Amino acid sequence: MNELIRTENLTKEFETRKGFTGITKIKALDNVNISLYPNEIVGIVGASGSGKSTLAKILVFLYKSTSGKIYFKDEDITKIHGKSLKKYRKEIQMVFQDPYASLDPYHSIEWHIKRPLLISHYSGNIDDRIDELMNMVKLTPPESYKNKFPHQVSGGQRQRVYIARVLALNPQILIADEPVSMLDVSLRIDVLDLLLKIKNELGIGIIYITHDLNTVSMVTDRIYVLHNGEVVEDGHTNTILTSPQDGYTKALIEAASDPYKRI
Amino acid sequence: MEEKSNLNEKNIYNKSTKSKVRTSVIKSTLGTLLKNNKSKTGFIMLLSIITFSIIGIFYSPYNPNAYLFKIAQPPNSVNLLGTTGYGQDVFSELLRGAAPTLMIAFTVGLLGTLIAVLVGIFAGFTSKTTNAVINIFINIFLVIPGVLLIMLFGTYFMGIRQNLGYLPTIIILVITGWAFGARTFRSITLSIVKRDFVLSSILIGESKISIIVRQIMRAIMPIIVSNFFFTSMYGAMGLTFIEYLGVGNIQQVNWGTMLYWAINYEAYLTGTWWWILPPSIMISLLMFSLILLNFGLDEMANPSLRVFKKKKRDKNE
Amino acid sequence: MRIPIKYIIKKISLFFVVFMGAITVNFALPRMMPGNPAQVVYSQILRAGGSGVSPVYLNQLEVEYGLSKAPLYIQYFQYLDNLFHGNLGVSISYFPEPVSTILAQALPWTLFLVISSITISFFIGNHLGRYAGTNRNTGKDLAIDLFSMFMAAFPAFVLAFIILDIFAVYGNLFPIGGAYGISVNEGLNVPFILSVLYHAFLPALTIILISLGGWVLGMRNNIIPSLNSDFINYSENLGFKKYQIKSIAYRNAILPNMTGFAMSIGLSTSGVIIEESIFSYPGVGMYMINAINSLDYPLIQGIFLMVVIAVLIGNFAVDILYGFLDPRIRQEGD
Repeated sequence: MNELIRTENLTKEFETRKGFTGITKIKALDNVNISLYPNEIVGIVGASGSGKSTLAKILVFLYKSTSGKIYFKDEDITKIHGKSLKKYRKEIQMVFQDPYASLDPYHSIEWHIKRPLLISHYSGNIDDRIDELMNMVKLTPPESYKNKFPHQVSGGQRQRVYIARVLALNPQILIADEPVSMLDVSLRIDVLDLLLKIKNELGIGIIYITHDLNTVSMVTDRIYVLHNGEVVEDGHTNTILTSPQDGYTKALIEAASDPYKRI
Repeated sequence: MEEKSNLNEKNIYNKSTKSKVRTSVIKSTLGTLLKNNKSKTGFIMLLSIITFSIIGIFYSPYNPNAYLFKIAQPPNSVNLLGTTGYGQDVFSELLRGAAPTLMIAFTVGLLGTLIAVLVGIFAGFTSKTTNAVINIFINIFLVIPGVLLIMLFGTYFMGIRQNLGYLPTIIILVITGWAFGARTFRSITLSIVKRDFVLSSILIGESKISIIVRQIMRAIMPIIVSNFFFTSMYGAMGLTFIEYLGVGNIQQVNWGTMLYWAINYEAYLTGTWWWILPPSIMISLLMFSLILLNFGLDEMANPSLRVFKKKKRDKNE
Repeated sequence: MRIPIKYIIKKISLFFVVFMGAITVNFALPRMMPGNPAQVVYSQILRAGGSGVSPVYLNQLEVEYGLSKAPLYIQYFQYLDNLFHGNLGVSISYFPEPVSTILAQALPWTLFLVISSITISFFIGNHLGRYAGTNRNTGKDLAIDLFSMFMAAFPAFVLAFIILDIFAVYGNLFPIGGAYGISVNEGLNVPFILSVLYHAFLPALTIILISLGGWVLGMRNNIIPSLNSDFINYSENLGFKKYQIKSIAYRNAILPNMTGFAMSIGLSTSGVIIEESIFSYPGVGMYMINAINSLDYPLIQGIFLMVVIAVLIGNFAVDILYGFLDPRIRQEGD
């Protein structure tokens, strides 16, 4: 089976001005090579500042990479723009960290799910599709949520609204940037279950970005450990969590060893 | 618990359509506005002034332009507010002059806000360089005192010597009055486009126009309305400035020209207060009503100014 | 203290652009007028009784107004050259006085009035606003708010007339016009300074009254969120006294008002120009009204340019001061 998405020596530098003429470059990503196959969840693990959110934003083209290549189904898409970028964006969607910020406070939940259907010219019955999507993310019964506004539902429900919104486009890839870190612990498991369900039922490949090793072990098949913009270790989740090779990974696992301490 | 409350709400929300939601939002905006005592007072004042002006379009006791009476008569039973130094009825002038004054104020408010919104949002949504250029442009108009531009453009419009009615006045006031709002909208748009819900719409594939109209305009609606009030105030005040400076259309009847003629006649020295005070007070009332309305909007847009009585707790949170 | 060079350069270039923009507008307007503005100005001078005007002067005017056949860019450079040498043309209504001479006499008075009244108004307004904000939703707050709103709502020049009427015409407490009495000698002596202050009192009072409202309401709206912020709660928990807390909140709320201060220079200038004409104060405003009434284009253009420059310098000074006060800007230049 071929990769859905693959990066080749992806590098991102940010420039900050210092003084009058001096410019210093900060490397947020340094020769990152990752890949994602259909029907799997890949974890990107790292502390804050490790470059994991930058990676997510580059993959959805909110940032431009400094160098390196991105392949989508073996096609080089590093330089795409305009129409082909729009087409690509339908295939790869992102779930934001803060469900309180990612939904427009002035629009109903139904609107949030309807817009992508309208934009992608959904051919079937839109109302039925909205119900179907809301049932899939367990916002049931849909009628009781449709006309609510984001501030009228809980954080977990918002995150599910958001997932329904991106699923409306039928993407092949989902990038989840710390999707549960802002939620109450009790609500996290539901959203993680939802991610697993999406993977299993729809065959979507998911990149799960987090700093939290405990949730990683629950959902991911493989992980990449990111440290200061570099991938320091990668492999199957269980292998790495049980016998880490890199010093940084060891320190991470050490810090999160006790699930009750960490979550 | 949650399930149950959802079921109860099911019936309520079942049938409501999109348009219904929209009108309910407008209603609730107006509702919040009118719950505020200051705004309510302002709203009532503004309505009364508008009613006064509408009456003035169709009816005035005497022809406001005709010199029918003895000059400089104090208020009496024939002339409710006395007569001018040239023998016109002050009350008739006040009544007839209301509509043009309001028309200019609100036209300036509307056009100025329109330009401010267009320029501000465009600047906030475009490339860095274009944004910087627009910012300089906005700053030019902010820094140069409005009265200078009024003087410069006003005298040149006079030099052209063509009767363009109120058009030059409105053009001058819009030119000098749009920049303040544009500055506000620019900085707000800059902060909104960085928020996740706008990024989300970009990823979903929304067009820029759609994001601007459906989301950004929606989010800044209270500020747009507030800016409209402010620019209208500028329009009313600016009209009196233009007329006072004598670069306007002094043959027309409006509250600005009333002041111009009163001052020209040195009404403040001759003691004909009934001539100079009524237009001043009417302009103040107009401005006052808009300031009061703005107060409520301010508290809406900036919740920390609001007086919290009893905050309803969100049951789902 | 580090100097925020980048910030200063940014400001200088902005003001330079504004300056060039103003010059260009000044250059373009007479050239966009239909007909022959030089002829208009010339005949106006004749009508105003300008003795000794010769057709040679008409020629000179035609060059000034770009009626010579020279290409536009050459005219522009000629125009800049004239400006650079302080040549702003000759006034019509005060013929044969050069515009630059009139401005040199008028500008100091206007500057004096603007700087003194705007500073006093800023000071009083912020303190009133602080008082209203810290006594929020009380009768005092409401009274201050209503007063400020009323002052902002009342037509500025009518207020000036009322004040002039009450204090000068009927009250006889203050002079009706002028910048100083006829009996004093100009110079740095006590009677002169007292006379200047005495004459400036009413115009300054009016400007203070009309510009007060903005500061009061701005300060009130800034200090209320500031009083509710976390660092104030924290200071309260640490046991700071009430007046100390108010002063901390005040210091945080005044920074946004400082930006307003720079912008208000332009606004206040508009007010000052109106007041000067009413109080017959021999500043730029008085000449401006006269210039408008006699369509004295050279003087109008001269005033425009002069005031723009003055306002730009004022803005620049405040911006630089602000750059030093706000650590966020100060750091930018590191």
